[in-house]
Amino acid sequence: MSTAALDFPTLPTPAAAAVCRHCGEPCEAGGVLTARGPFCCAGCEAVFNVLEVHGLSAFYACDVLPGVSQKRGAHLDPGRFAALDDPATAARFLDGQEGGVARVTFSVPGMHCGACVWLLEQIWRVEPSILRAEADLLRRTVRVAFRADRITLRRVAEQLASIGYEPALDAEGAPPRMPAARRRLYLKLAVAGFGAGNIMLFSFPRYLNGGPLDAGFQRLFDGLNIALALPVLLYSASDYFRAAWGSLRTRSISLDVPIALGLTVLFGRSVADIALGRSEGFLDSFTGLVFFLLVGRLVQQQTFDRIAFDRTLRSFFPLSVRVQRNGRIRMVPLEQVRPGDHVVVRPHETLPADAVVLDEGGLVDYALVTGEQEPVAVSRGETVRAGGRAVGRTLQVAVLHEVSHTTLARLWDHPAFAKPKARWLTDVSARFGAWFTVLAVAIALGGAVAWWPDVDMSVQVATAVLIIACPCALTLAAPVTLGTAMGMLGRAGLYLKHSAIVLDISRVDGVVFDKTGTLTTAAAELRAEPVGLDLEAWELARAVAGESVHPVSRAIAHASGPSRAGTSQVRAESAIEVPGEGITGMVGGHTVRIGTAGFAGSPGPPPDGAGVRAGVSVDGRFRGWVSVSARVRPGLDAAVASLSRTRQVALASGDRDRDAGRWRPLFGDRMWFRQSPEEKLALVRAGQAAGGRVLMVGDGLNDAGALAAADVGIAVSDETACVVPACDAVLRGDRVAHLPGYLDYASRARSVIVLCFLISIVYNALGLSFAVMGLLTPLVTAILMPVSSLTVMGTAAGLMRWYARRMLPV
Amino acid sequence: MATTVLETPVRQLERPPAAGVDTFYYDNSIVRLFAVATIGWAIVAFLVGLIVALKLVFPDFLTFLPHLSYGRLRPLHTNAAIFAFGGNAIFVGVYYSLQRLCKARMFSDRLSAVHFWGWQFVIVLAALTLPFGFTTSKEYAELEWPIDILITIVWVAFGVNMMGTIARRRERHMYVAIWFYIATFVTVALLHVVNSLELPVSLLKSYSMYAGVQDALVQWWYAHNAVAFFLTTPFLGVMYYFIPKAANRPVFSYRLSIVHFWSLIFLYIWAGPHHLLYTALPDWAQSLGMVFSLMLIAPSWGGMVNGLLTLRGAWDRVREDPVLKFMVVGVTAYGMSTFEGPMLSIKSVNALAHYTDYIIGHVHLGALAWNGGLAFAMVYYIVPRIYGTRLYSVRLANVHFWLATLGILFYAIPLYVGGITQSLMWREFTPDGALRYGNFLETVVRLVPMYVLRVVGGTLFTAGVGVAVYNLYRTARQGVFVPAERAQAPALLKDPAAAGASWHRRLESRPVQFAVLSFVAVFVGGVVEFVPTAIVKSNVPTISAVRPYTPLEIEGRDLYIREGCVGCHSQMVRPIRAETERYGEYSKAGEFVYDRPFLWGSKRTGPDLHRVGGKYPDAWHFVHMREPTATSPGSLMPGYPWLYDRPLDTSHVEGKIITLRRLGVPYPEGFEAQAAADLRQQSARLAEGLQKAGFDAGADREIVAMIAYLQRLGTDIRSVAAGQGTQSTAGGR
Amino acid sequence: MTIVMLLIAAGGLVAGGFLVAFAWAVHTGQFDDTCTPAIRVLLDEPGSPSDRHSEDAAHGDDRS
Repeated sequence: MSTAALDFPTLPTPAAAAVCRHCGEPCEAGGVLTARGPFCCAGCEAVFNVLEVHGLSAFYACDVLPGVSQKRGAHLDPGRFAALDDPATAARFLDGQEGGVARVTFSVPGMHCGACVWLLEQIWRVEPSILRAEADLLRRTVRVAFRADRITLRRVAEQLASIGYEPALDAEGAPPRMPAARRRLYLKLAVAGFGAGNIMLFSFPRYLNGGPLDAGFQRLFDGLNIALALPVLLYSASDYFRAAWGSLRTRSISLDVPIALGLTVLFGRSVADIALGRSEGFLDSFTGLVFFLLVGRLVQQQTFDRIAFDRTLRSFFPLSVRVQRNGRIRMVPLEQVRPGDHVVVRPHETLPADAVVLDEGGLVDYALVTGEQEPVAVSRGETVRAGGRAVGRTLQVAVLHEVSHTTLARLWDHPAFAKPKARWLTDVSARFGAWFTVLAVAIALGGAVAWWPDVDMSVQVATAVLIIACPCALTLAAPVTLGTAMGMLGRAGLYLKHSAIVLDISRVDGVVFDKTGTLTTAAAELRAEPVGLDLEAWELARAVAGESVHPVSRAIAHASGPSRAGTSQVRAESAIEVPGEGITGMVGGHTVRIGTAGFAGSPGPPPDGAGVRAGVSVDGRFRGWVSVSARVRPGLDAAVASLSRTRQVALASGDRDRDAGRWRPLFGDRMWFRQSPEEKLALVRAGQAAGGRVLMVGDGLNDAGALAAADVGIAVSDETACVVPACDAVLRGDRVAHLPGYLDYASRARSVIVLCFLISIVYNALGLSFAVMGLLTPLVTAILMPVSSLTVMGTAAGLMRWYARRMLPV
Repeated sequence: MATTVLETPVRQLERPPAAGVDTFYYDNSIVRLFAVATIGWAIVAFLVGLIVALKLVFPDFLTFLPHLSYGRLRPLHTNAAIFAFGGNAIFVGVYYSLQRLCKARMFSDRLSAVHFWGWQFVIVLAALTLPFGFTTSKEYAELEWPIDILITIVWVAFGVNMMGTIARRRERHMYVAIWFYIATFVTVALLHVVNSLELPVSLLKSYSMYAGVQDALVQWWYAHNAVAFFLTTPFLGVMYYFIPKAANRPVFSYRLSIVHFWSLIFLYIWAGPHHLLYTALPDWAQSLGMVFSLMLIAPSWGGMVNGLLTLRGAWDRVREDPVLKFMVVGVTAYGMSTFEGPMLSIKSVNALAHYTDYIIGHVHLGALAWNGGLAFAMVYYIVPRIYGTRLYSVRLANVHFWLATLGILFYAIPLYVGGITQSLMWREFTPDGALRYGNFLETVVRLVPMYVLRVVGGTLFTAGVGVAVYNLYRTARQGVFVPAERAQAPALLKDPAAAGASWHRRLESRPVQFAVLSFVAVFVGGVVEFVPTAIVKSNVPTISAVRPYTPLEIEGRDLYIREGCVGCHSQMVRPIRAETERYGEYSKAGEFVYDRPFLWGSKRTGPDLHRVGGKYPDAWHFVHMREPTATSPGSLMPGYPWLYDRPLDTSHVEGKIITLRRLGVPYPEGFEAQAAADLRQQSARLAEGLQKAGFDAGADREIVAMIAYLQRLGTDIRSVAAGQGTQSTAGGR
Repeated sequence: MTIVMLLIAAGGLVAGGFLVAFAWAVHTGQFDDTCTPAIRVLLDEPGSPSDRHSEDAAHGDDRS
């Protein structure tokens, strides 16, 4: 017998490297050693103390090192929740206020386990005026009820942050709890299930008895059946009737019409049969039908919820901007910026609205919005358009017109980016639906007439036809297939803007690759180190590089390399990119140039060796080289090779053709170097002009134009999935090698949709012919109808998931 | 009960609780009381079970007192096991988990006390009335009408206490276990009331409101749901709380548990008829019972899967932790018996297994492993916690586990084998078409070895409880009892967002009252409308030849009920060739019109008696009832010597006739005046017949009434067939 | 067999009652969150006796 089983194993003793007592991450240089053990950063230690003081240390017994690392948030400025002070922004988060008690729902991405739930719900120990908190682990949200008169919303947010859970003030706000419509759907489903189950049990006696029971019981059971079926008809199936009535009123025939028609016929026929005592009616199949339709609708809604939930879209536009009013700069939410307000836009910040430049001018980069690459110089009095980003120097502008978040968001759906996409598959359901319903009604009438002398049969045939004619494939096939495909692709790292893009991907026959950031790893992983460059020049070079977004300069800026002890990070006043040459900027009085040999005025050619050599000159004097080497993404050669077998592949890169030799075996002679964004755009247009459908794969920043023009534009990004307006999909950096898999998968989606259409056509042909011949009792038809839509949905979703498992890195 | 508040040392900085935060104390003393009662009554129930099992091996064991005869002790065992042991175990689980799930103390300490002491008083009353023969003979509802009323009051006290706690909860979400507890309270209340409708004759005697087939259907609708809503739903609630807590894992799929609960409760109207397959129930009702039971596999197995898969990732701990071991075996047994049940309700399988000891094996597999297992696991989990210490010895708990598991195997398997043997022997025909085992006794003798093994199983299981008692006692000794466990939680606020439609708001704020109000209103409406129709004239096809019992036969029937003969004998010959061959014409629904309560029985340790009337001469009965082995050697039936020396109590004859007429039996007006004379006349004639056959039998002895009733069983229909007049000359028949 | 009517009334009463209870539960948001309650059950008050016995940590693995 083993020893006492109830003693739980001791906590894993930290291995050699000291592990943070709060979040368990290894403690590197920035670690803090205290009496109560090592912490990876000051943030973690602060949270640990807060918990200890408020008696919440049991938190660490709830899970093994459950804390959320505060390292990333270490340098967040304390004022980040200032926006919540303003009532308008706060209103968007508050759920309601009643009798001094306000309620707010925050989205807390840091929440991940039971211990987090426990800690968040004990927050009232930390802040007495917070009354209560309820955490939701699945949606990662927390609902806090607090005394509005004793604490501000901002303070609540700060308290949450103080115990290690940073509320994300994402523009979209937290996903809503159960929307009221979903609750009504659950109730409708329960009523339908209640009815279906019990009516079945009340109908069994007659089936088992092989005939009507003695009058007393048969009347009782029939009465109960009708009583139970009425709420199902009036409440559970009301959505279908309302939708059908709505579409009829607008003269269009949506696909709810045949369903509503079928339901009324089934119910009417059953009540008639019961009243005349001819048969026990088909109320059990009627309620069963409504039940299955509602189950189908719930499943469909839940899959689309999950798809939307997976895709993490970060919006680019700030919540609030810095406005200078009577000499003081204050954070003002976007909605409250008035025309004529004096807005201060710092480098890398986005212009909230069209505005007029007030100070002597500076540089604005519209790469994000319109795709043009090089920054535009603007001077006093010129107008700058919304979405532009200030580069180099801070800009003082006066806003021209009212601005709101929606106007900016609409910017993305700007016609310039709306691509005329042929959605021949998804449109077919709308056109075909109306025609299908008319045909169904015609066949029903035809059948009734054909059997006319025998009234009973003609009624049976007519009802059977109306019920069996199920356009389910048309409505369900495309959305379910594409929806599942989009979900699966999302899980595999390719986030699509909307599901129709799957079809466009499947019809691509030419692929154009950008080099930097796509074939090679993005800037973050570029390694830059000085070659024969003295320390002072290297510092200046890094300062200037910090101002530019070009991958090479970002690599230089982030390079860890040796830094003179004690010098704080110097900010360059300005940095201007000269396309194809390099960048020049002013730092502490020195003009610094980084770029090609000629641009930096170097005496001789750069020393050979792997990677790009950029020359650095300060005040005109050449000081040395910086070598920036980039690794090619793993598995890329195989990917491009397999793509080239079935499609044309080409390479268009902004760099010089120094390592063309490396790519020749893959792209043969279809390689273009030193391509400006315009030339890339022209290349794509040429491919399209030759009748091809072009897929452009780029890093989305400097070739936004080409991405926008291509049939399908995929932006490769390594950090969070940020969707650049110009592209249709975002691909995670480490999944580029799976591109062939994605293309094949997309073509599978097309064949699945066609298969579903075939199933539906065969099903309808068989069903209608049997119905017209009068062989189908409504009972069988009522069973077939949900069966057919469930099979279509099942095959579509099932096949796409099966293919995904085989073809995608899910 | 003054509860001393023991302040558990709070390590942290003691800060004054903020405005909206309540400090409250869980009531552990009521939990301890129920735990002690559970273990105490467990011992009583299992010992009575052992005695009853031993009586089937040694018929003359403990026969010096009429109060210890098999017939009277069997109902005591069933009631003790289900309501005393099972009941108290449920309340331990509910009172411990409900408070922690709602983060609130029980609604009222006084109601908890009323509930506890009331329930134990009911059990004591049962222990006093059943051995004295005061029983309604309706299985698992044997207690007489005053105790039924007391049960209702105590049960309502429990319900109010529970609903009050839920209404004052500080945790907005109602965990699924709470819904199971609510379902238990609501449904058992309804079942008990509907099944206990009876008209009293005297303080400890009453006649059922229903008769014959109807009484059977209501009884088995009650009995099945007693198993379903008293021995399954609360234990599922306990499972959903204690398995996650013991394994420290969230339940496998919380969504599945919600679907599992609501699909079960919505369809629960139709439980019960599968206990009456091949009996006189209409055919479509029997088939419906079968179909419904087959449907029950889905929710039951949904529960089992959810319970077992909660342990994914924690199976290694099941090896050492006895609490988890008991629960795993319990949930698996729950799966087995809820699969076995539906299989048994298939008509062809039921024809084989009904009335045999197979059913007893099925019942005890569920009871010992599922209810017993979970009850023990819960007590092993709770006692160390309310005493703030660890279990005294995990090794002893494992010993108990293995004793219990072996006990269950030694109990169930022999009875499975015995049941099948019994059934096959009853049905076996020789090639030339005669019954191979014509004499019922041949099957009884063949089963004795199985009964011996069952005694071994029972002993092991009871021994296990002994080990548990010692272990728990030492655990309590080494710990310090924490009568009131301190807890802090913010009060629940009115949630404006979820208020829904405004006219609904007023009802919203008081959900529990809203549910109770609707229940009472609709129920009263239902009762007022339906019950009269049920009583007045049941349209069961009445057979003209079937006449009400004579006063002497009524007294004899009440003796039959008093001695608990229904515990071993059935009165329902099924339309199966082997039974019509052995017993005679199969029983028709119309024959039971005047049987209040019905005595169809559910176990044939002895032969079916519905056609025994006239089969043996009075003298045979006179000898057999005193010394069964004299006329049938090897019989397991105990003797009833006290029937020969005690005079028949005829003081209530008039009251019985009046009550029966009020329940619809067509006794002519004024018949009750001459009932006593009629009784004396019939008993004198019978006694004279016995003396003529050489047996000295006093006309006023109880045995005469018993013989009169036995000779009347099933004879009405034969008289029609034979065409001659009935012997008895009692008027008004 | 009019007794069946009584049984249907009784059973229907219970089932109908619970349908009403379901409607109440849906509207008061009992089913909004079907993931956290299963985990919240495991989390006991700090310092309570049952908390001292909570075995190794509650692995509420990430469910999404």
